[in-house]
Amino acid sequence: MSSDQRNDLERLASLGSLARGLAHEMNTPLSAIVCNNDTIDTAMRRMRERLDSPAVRPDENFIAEMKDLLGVVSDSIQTSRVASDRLRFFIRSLRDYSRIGGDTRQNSDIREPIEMALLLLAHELRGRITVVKEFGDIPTMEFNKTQLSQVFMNLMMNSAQAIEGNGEIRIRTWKEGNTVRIAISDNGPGFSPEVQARLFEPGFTTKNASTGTGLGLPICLEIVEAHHGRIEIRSEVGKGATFTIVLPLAADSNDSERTTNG
Amino acid sequence: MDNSDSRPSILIVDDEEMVTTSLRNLFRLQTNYRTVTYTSPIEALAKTSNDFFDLVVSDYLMPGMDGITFLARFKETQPQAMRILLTGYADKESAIRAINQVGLYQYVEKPWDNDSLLMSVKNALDKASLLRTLDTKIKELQAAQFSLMDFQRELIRTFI
Repeated sequence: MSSDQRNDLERLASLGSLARGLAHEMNTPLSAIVCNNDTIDTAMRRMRERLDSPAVRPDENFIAEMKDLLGVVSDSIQTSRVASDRLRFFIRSLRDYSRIGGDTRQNSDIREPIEMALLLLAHELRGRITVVKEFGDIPTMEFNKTQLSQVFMNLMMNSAQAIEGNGEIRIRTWKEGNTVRIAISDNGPGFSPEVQARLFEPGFTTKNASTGTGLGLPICLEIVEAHHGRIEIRSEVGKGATFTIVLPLAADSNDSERTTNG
Repeated sequence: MDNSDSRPSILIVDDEEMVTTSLRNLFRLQTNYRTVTYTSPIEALAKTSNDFFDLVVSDYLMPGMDGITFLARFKETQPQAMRILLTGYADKESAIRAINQVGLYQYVEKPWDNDSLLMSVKNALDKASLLRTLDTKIKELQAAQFSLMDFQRELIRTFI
């Protein structure tokens, strides 16, 4: 099995474990749409009945009643639109995240794979973990959106599982020299230098068998290295953990420049 | 708060505005209930201490405070209000536990069916109203009993 195939498998497996939560998250906008369809239908029927009534007199009361019904209809349509947009973004994220095969890199905003991972993890985090985003001003850059969202998903999932009870995950992005840095910090229990030394060993896990495969971090490292980047780790027992992904800015365009000039 | 408003009152709490708006429109169209909505359970608790409700409908999974904790806290200040929990399929087990824990009238799964939700709400309000009537009758009976006892004491004093 190639490493790309193994990454695909790990990604799809992580989606499988999130399926229950994903269904739950999509259920909310769906509930709103189903409810609004019914409300719009009833309001329209009532308007039609009143307009068809032979005894109808377009007096002030009638106009007020029609305006009220139109208000309900337009409010419901507006709410359904918000709900549909949410569903659309959800489905697009799911589609992008489950895309299989090949290293297709595109020029994109680094916030996209972060938001994608956050959306797919929303149910796991909701009610328990506060997400703080501090996004710096970063130019678009070339990367594989699916693979980087897999990295962010893994790191945030690790943080969420490490935090017992309520906690916080902080995502910070900034530009430093010719690199872009994405730091994911949590206020969980952190880990010792001994554990840190083994974090990227395939099969090493601190979780119980049902939650950890031990494949997450080695795959993250592999993906980041394929993007000519590295992962820096800072942690202390009792003081949380920070994983910082360092990616070179415009590495590929430099390469192509060299090729063109050479 | 409008004390002169005698319509049945419903408090709706869900962290998703799209849900509170949809429910508010549904009740606005289909009922004469007074509906008040909040997207934060903590805000709902803080702002309704002087506003009494016949029914509270709450989502389960919300940031800051889950629906069961919210309903339990709400019950402390407004025990008269019927309690309905809105849940996703994934929270069903928690909802079932809550039935006893917070004296839940019913739990309703998302996506709900408008007609059956309206029916559940109506039944809950009928029950609330019956309980209120029962409460009034019990108080009347107690008052009658006290006055009978006074009368009895007076009789005893007079004749013995």
